[in-house]
Amino acid sequence: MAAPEPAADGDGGRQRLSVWLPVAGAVAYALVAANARAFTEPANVLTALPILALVVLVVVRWPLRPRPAAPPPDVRHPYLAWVILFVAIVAWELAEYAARGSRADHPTLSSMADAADRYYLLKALFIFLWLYLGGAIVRRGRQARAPAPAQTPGESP
Amino acid sequence: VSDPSYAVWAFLGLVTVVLLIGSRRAPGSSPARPFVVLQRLATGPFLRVALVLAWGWVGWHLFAR
Repeated sequence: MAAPEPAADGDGGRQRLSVWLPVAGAVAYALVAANARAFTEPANVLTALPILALVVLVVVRWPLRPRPAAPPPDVRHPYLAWVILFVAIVAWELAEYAARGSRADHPTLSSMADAADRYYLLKALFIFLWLYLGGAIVRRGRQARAPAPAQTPGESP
Repeated sequence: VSDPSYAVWAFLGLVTVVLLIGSRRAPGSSPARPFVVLQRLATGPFLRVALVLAWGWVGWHLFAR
């Protein structure tokens, strides 16, 4: 098998830029958005903008009829452990939410996040992770497009 | 402060870390890597809608309300 040709400097630079530019943008956005206090107009706007952007991106970039990604080959129940963990977290969250007593006695994920949000950098980190996850969602869904049919050697593009 | 409550949260966090480490053992290992799980969610006809709604709700709930 032939080794892949090294990318030209321009291509490599563009590739790096296409990775790091959104990350830098997300960091900058998170640092700005972390200044906004919850329940205020700026917080609403700064949270709504990424949500609207994601909705537009998935409409534009995702295929209309996706093909569910195939599970990794030769692996039994690759998602089972994650499903069990997710169910356990949701169950405990609901149990804590419904429990009688103060939120300090029965913390939920939200109340713990609220406590962490008092620290500017932690809040900025949470916002960055949320934005990063949004970007990953768009990218992973986009890869569901059906592969283009293979071209025969003599076929022109 | 309720120690049992925090202990359960800490345990769930620990399980998450163990799964993250376990998923990195080898390509195609079980449990699947987080981005493989995400890809499966993002390519399901109904799951992808739930995924986008959940992502938006989490952001709104945590940062705006």
